[in-house]
Amino acid sequence: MLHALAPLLPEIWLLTAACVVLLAATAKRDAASLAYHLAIGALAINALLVVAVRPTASSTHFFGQFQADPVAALIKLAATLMFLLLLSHARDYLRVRRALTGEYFAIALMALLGIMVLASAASLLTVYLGLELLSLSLYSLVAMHRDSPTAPEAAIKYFILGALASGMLLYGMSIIYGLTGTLDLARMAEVVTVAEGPNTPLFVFGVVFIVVGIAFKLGIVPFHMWIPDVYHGAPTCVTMLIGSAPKLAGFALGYRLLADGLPELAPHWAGMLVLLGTASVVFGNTVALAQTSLKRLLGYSTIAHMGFLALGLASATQPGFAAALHYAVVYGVVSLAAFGVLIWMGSDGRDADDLTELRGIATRSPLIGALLVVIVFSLAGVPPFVGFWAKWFVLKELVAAEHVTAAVVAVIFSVVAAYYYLRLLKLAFFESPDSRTPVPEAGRVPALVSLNGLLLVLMGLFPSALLTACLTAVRA
Amino acid sequence: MLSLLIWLPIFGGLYVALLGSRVAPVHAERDAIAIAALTFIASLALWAGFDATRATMQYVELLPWIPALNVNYHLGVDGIALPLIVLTTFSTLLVILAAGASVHGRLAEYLGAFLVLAGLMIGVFAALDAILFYVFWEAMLIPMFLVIGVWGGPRRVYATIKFFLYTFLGSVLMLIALLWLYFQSGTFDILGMQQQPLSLDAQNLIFWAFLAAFAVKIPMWPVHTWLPDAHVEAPTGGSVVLAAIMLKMGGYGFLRFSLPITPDACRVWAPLMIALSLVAIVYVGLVALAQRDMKKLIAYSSISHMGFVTLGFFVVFAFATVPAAAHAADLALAGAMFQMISHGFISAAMFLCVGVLYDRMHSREISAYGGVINPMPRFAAFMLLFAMANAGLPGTSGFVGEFMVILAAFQVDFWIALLAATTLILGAAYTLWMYKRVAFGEVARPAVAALKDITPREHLVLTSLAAVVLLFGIWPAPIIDTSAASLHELVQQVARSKIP
Repeated sequence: MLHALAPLLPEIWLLTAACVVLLAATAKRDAASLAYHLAIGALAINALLVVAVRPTASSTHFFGQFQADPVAALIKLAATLMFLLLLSHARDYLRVRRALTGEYFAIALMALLGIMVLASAASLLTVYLGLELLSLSLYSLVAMHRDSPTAPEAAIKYFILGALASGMLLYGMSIIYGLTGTLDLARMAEVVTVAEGPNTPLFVFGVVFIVVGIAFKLGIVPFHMWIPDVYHGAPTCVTMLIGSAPKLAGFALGYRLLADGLPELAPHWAGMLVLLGTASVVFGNTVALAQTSLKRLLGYSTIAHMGFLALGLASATQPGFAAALHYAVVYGVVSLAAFGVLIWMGSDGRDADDLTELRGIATRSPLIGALLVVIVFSLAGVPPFVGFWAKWFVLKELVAAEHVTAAVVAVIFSVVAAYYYLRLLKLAFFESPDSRTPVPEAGRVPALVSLNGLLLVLMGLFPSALLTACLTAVRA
Repeated sequence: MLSLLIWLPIFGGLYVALLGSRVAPVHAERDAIAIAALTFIASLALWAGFDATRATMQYVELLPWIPALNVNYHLGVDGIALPLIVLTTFSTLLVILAAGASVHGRLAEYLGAFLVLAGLMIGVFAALDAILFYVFWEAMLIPMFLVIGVWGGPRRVYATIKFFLYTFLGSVLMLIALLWLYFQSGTFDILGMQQQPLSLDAQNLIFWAFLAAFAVKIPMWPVHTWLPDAHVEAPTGGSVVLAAIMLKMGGYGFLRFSLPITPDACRVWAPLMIALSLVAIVYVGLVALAQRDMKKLIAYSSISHMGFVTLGFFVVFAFATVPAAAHAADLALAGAMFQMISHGFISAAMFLCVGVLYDRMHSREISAYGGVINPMPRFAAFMLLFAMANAGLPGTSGFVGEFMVILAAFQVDFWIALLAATTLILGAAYTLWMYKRVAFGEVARPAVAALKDITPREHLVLTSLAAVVLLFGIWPAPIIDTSAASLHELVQQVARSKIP
């Protein structure tokens, strides 16, 4: 029995740790600090556990509900490391605002658990379980600042639209279940061996709803409406959380349902994803041009980036999935750095949000200027920074899958995107600041963001490790 | 060796830029000059050890970069790349020497940006892997974007964003073409791509995707409009690097990618390319005549001169398949190649001359000057030499390339040659007219009367440029011999149809 549960060790550990952290949050003195340290320790051990039980091949456990494979391991490790950074940032952010509570860390651990369950899902039930665990944690995190004028609104919007999307996804799942008679994804793939048959229209009908569910969770057009409002309304440390690791969950959702469960229907869902992905790249990048709020701008840029991720999935080949996985990891790291700079700029307790706050910031704090160069060109996909490799890999697989038109549209709108990204640098470098005082530095934020920026440069110069890891994981 | 040439200026530049704010500007400048000089000497050593009789790649370095996806760190130079690399290190050294006088504030970062830029540009010329090439090609935009934006003139933001977006749009289409080629040929090796047979339809699409990148860069009419803006707003050093090296990258791209990878499409589109080149030579030359701003005038003159380069590239297709005229094909390519190098020296010199005036008067308007020869006789002598070279006076390097291209064009069509030859008149008209209005005449303004002649540092920079302009004007053999074998190989490659 114990042996059978060994691959689930990280999940079991994390669930236990989340409960302990929640209990610690009720301690009389220094509850938040205690919860924070416990959470960080739990994450560190979780990372070690993920590495320790990492599989080299795919295997199913826990009555066919849970699968351990290298893709899941890679997602779990990346997500855990991102959460380590996220929680450290969140602590400094919340402390400055006198809003530091232990519950934040407990709920964040639950969200991570959701991502991990989703990553390892082997049946429709586990997929849904992981997805809802993640989503519910995120809803409550957004609403955490109950006195804020925008956060509750964002949370309600997120919740209602999220619930609707979950409903759609469930509907799609139930149709597929009705047709195949199994919840197990691997069995499902065996049953649906023929793409064309008498049941094809029904299958396609089910796939449409599943794709809608995935599109909502990724936030791609036309199911992107929640992104700008939630990004803008949530506290920055929560926006940062939503904008990074859950993108891995979005990939996992698509990968498990479409690649594991319905590979034979690829011609159908790939066509839908090409359309949605291209539309996202076009729409996100165009609307981002008109934004004056940094968080909304990053929100629309996310829509475009997730369009790229969807295009990777749409290649419907193993390297294509690897490209999407790589994109999710890279985007997470880049977006952590971008929001890290926002958190740094908000070190005085006021949320930095208007674009004009960047004015002349490179003169005030040269380090922020240097970081902005790295981040902006990473987001824009200009080499030698890591964002280029993510886009390059997706484009390469798109061209290989003969979606050349989509690739051309995507790169042309990357040029459009370059305009609003460059505008950030223009404000930071080419304009003179309103004041000469350096941006205040709270806690470890500057050190962490610098580390994050350095990572972007190193991953850009030595892209081989991550690219190879993604490729071998998907091929295993 | 090539890695050293690439990474020495990049790391040196980062070092200068990062430590520069803590030390006095003089120290940063000293370090930057040392690094640039070392790079220049290394590039001369590269030239000395180069075997010009072979057309193959030399100094090859091949290391796996992303083995899982067939991307390699693959460097090497042939006779086409080598002169451009030496031109890069030479111009960078001059820019760094000249920077101290014209840049006020953040000097260390300025010098650092140019050193990084130099390393990246050498990388472009040395890369033999398509993805490595693309990485250098794009990365180069970053320091240039910052140089124009931070140290540029009043409309610098508009100019620098226009520059970035224009070139970025061209390059991304090239990226798609390279990815598509990868799936045809199974390799990112540029030399491997050159061997890949392609149908004419495929060649046409790839040709246009490449053209988007290279025509913008070189720039060809009608996608040249970013250049005058970028030149006018860029600081002197930025203008020099733009004109002397960055434009050559478009030309280099044609030689390394368009011509050998899509020879049949090039043959199909050669008449159009020749026509566009002639428009650039004649029409843009006329536009230059009407400019009031000295930098804008030189920018348009650059576009006009680059027209010769593309003309030389594409007249080749008129006789590359005729064995009897193979000599003319060699002549056209050699002329275009020489024109690229020579224009690198002359445009750099012209922009530095304008920079010398601008540092003193803070105006680029021709009408703000007049009679400069009186307070600044030595400067005026230098400027006269460079103006003559720009106009293509025999005895200067400006003449050689143009003459070779015109000679080759004569064998294709009399009218092409005649139109191309009008540049000798137009070039003389706009350059010398500008020189006349700036240097000669009565000293009408007190500000001009108070001008001081060039400093020893400026003297050194202008003398070295004057020396190479005259040297290669009288004895062009070093450049022509270096690239002859590689260009001849290219002509043979171009003559073979790749349609399977």
